[in-house]
Amino acid sequence: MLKIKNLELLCLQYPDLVCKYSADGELLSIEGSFLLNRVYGDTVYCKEYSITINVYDNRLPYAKETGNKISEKYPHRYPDGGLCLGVDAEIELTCLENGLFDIEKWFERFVVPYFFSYEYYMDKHQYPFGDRSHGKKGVAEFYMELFNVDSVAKVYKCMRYTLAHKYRGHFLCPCGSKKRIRYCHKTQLYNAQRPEVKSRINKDYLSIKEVCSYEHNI
Amino acid sequence: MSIEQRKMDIVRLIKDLDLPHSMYENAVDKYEALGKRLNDNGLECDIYPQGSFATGTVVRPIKNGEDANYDLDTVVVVHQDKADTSAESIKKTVGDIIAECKRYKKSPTEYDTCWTIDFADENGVGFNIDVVPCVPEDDSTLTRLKEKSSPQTISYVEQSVAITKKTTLTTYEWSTNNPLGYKEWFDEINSPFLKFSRDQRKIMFESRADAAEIEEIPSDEERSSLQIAIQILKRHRDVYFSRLNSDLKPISAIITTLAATVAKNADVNLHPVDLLAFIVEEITSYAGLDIYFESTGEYEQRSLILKHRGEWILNNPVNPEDNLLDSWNQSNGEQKAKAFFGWLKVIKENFMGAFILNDDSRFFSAMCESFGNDFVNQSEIRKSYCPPPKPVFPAKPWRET
Repeated sequence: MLKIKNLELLCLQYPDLVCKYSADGELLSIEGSFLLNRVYGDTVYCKEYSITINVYDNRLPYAKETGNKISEKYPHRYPDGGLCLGVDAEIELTCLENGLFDIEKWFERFVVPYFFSYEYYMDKHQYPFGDRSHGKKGVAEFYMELFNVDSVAKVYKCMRYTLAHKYRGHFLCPCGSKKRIRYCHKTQLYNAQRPEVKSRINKDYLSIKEVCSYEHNI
Repeated sequence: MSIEQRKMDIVRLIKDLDLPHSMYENAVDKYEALGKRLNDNGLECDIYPQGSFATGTVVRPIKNGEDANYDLDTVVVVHQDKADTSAESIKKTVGDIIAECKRYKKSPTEYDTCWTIDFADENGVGFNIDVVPCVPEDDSTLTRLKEKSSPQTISYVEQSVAITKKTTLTTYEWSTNNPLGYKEWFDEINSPFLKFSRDQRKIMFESRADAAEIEEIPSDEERSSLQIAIQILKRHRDVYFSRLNSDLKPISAIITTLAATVAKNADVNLHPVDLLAFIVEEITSYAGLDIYFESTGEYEQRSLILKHRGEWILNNPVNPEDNLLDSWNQSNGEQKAKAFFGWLKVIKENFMGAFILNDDSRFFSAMCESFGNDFVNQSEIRKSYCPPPKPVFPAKPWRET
C-alpha cells in the first residue's frame, strides 16, 4: 500500500478537494476542484479545474481532469482523460521520502505545473519548461537530465553503477568525467540509491538498456 | 464583488481593448492625409472609415495567440462613372499613388479588395489601414438592388458602391458593396443607445465635484451599450477561436449585424452585459428555425438566421445581394454553423454564467478564459479579484506510450 503523507496539508491548501475513503478507512480518491493561480515569467494563469485523483495500492496516484477542459488533441493526455504528469522515476525521486509519498509535494510539483504547461501550450504553442518524448525515450531524457550527461550511454553507466555498488565518494564517477564521485555526480547517485526508489531505478535501467542498445549498439 | 461591480469591471476591461484616443487621432490624421494626397494627385475622391472603425466596435485583434496591431478599414470612393473606368484601373491608380508616398515606410500590400498600409508601431501597438478603392454604383445596378430591397432598407441602396475585386493574378472585377449604407443603418439603431449612455454620463458628471476636470469624450469615441456588447462578443470570439486554432471563426459582419438587429427590440437602458445576454439569447432562440406561417405565407420576422431549404441565410441589411452566411453554404459550412452556435453556448454558460459565481477568483478565471489570459491578468481588475499568484514549479509532462 502506498503510504501517503501531507494529505491534510493538501486539503488545507485546496479546500475544495474532498477525500473519499473505503469502509475500512483507506483513502480511495481525492475529488473536487482547485484554482490554479501561478506565475512564470510574465505569464500568470488563474483558472479553475475539476480533478479526480485515484490512489492505488502499488502504483503512483493517477490524476484525471473531469471538467473537459483538457483538449483531446493535447499530446500529454491519456485517452481516458488521465494527466501525463511526468516520468515516474522523477515523481518518485521527488515525492518518496523514507517510504512515504508526499502527496502535497506531488500536487505542487507535478499536478499544478501540468495545468500551467497546458494553458501555456494552448496559448503560445510551446511548453514553458519543455516536455519529454513519449515512452522509453522520455525516460532516458529524464535520466540524462538527472545525471547531467549528454548521452544515453553515460546514463546507462551511471544507472549500472547505482544498482551494482554502494556509494563510495572516492571512486571515479561512472559518467566518465575522470573526477571522483564526490566532486561530480555525488548528489544524483546518492539520491538514486535510496531504497524506496531502487525498484524503479532497476526497472528503468532495463528499459534504458534497450534504448541504449538500439541507439549505440552496446 | 457584487454582480453590478463585476459588470462595471468588464466594461473597464473592454475599454482597454478599444482603439486608444491618441491612436484614433493618429489614424484619422493618416487616412485624411491619404485622402488629400489622392486628390492632390488628380484622383478626385472621398475617403471614409468603414467596418468596425466606422461603427465604433474596434477591438484589438489576436494573431497567433498574441495581441496584434489594429486593422482599420477605410473606403476610397473615387468620383468616376463606373462605365468610364475599370476595376483594374481604379485599384492600380489608388495603389500607385500610395506606393509613391515617401511618408510610408513600407510599400502597400495588395489584397483581393484592398491595399494595406502597415504603419510603424506606436507605443508598442500599431495599426494597419486597409484602403478599399471603389466608385459609385451605376444606375442599372441601383435599380436592380432597389427592386430586391425591402421597404425598410431601400433608402440605403443609393449609397451602394462598386468595389474592385482581384479575381486572378491579372484580372479584376467589380463587386457591389455598401459600407456607407451599413454605417448609416448601424448608427440609426445605435443612436438611442448612444443618447442614453450620453445622458447617463451627463448625470454622473453633474453629481461629481470634479465635473469640470473631466474631459469630454469626442463623439466618435463614445461607446454605447450596444457597441460595448459587440466589442465583448468580438473579443470573446477572437480568444475562443484562437485557442481552438480554428479557421471556423465567424466574421465580424455577422456578429455586428445580428447584434444590431436584435438590439432594435432591446431596452436602451440595459447594461452592456445584460444587452449582450439578451442578444445571445435572441440569436440562439430563433437561429436556424425554418419558421413558416401558412396563414400569412411569410417567414417569422424575428428569425435572424434562417435555414431555408438547407441554405443558411443572413441578409446584409443594406445589400440585398449579399448573404453574410454564404461561407456556411460552402464545403465546410456546416462546421462553421456548428462552431458558431457552439461558441454562443460557451458565452451563455461560461461568460454569462460566471457573473453569479460566489467566488471572485472563479469569476476572474472565467474572464481570463473569455478575454485572453495575458490581457486580463495584466489588467487593473486582477488585484480586486484574485490573490497574488505563486511561482509555479517547472515540470515536463511525459506520457507512457
